[in-house]
Amino acid sequence: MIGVVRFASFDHYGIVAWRLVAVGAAAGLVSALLLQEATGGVLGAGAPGLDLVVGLIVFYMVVSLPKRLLEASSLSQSREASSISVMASVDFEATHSRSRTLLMLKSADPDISQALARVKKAILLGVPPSAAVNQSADLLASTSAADALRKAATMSPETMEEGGEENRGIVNALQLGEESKLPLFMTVCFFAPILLLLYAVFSRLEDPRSLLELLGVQLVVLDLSFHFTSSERRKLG
Amino acid sequence: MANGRGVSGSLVATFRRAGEGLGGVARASLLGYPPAESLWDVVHGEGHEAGMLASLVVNGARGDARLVGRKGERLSLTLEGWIKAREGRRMEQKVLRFRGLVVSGVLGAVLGMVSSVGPLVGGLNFTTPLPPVDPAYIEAAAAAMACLSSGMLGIYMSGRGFLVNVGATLAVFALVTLAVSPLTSVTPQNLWGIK
Repeated sequence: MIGVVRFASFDHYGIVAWRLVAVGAAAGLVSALLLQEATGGVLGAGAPGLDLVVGLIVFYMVVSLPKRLLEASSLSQSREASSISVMASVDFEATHSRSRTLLMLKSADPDISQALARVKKAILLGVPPSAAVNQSADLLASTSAADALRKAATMSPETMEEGGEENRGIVNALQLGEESKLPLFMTVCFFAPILLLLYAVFSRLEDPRSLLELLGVQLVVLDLSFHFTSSERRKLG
Repeated sequence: MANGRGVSGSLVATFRRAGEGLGGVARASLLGYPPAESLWDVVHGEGHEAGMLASLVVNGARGDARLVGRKGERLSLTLEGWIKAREGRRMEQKVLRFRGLVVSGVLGAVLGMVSSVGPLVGGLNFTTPLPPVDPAYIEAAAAAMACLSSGMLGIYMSGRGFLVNVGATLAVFALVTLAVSPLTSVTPQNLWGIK
């Protein structure tokens, strides 16, 4: 929590906000100083502006890391939710016991698997299934995975739905994000070298050192834009 | 299962004619391994959807297998939707790779042109004549910048196939540089002195 603003991802991973902000600020500052050192003032009056932008971007990258991790985790868990829902339904009809159903459930996703292990432990210690699930389901990033576990503990199998809506929603959102960012990355890849080369020509930067520094600037710009624009792509696989 | 076979019998019937990878499931079932062992490779293999269905069969083998079949039908429809979406995405990726290749080629052409003509244009001055810009390092830097951009674009569009993008850029860059090279031999004139 920063002031009155709460971040779900920070709460989920139990991160102390000001510590992450401090780490982000330090990383941003170090990046800006490193860039300043590496480019050696080849950009002239525009150098401080670029250093500032790079510092801010690195800060955002560090601070938004829990959010990206939570999104990736949510996608993976929502995929698994459908399978859990069906398996819980089958196991319940076979055993007619909610505790046994929960004890029989397995998942390939590490987070759900961890939550299930906690539920199983609580059930074996004598905690009622609904209470055991409520303690662990809140730790899951995906609402459909948490719902599947809750329904396995409280509802009859007929009412359990397959629950692929969340996954469809996440995938659609990621695809839209990817479609929006692709032209941006293509534009950066196309125009960054052209503008830097024109800058070199008209500023009469002919020595190899200055040209290498410009190449370094291009690498930083491309790398940052690659990181920004490919996050959806990495999640979709 | 519908023909009155058990789980292992159904696995043998289903995977008997399967290819090299899945043929092992029928073989393992015939050798007497339980479904959990026979389907191990499918459950823990690369195909996430196939793994989910296989794990349902494995878990369902402990209970009512007919029930598993009935419930699994609904899950299989969802998984089929995911597979179709992935296939559609794969086709889109092919188009994107081609687009990336086109952009890499155009980038090579533009940078080839800028690196060849740029030093000439950069040397033009109406008032005080400047010494012409030495194009040797400029061309090398342009080639390096083009490779860097097309390489990143290639990694984004086609992963390990990025070398194709770099190759296309370098080829077009070299062609354009050769084609424009006669222009670079033109000596800039001091236009202020023309009467």
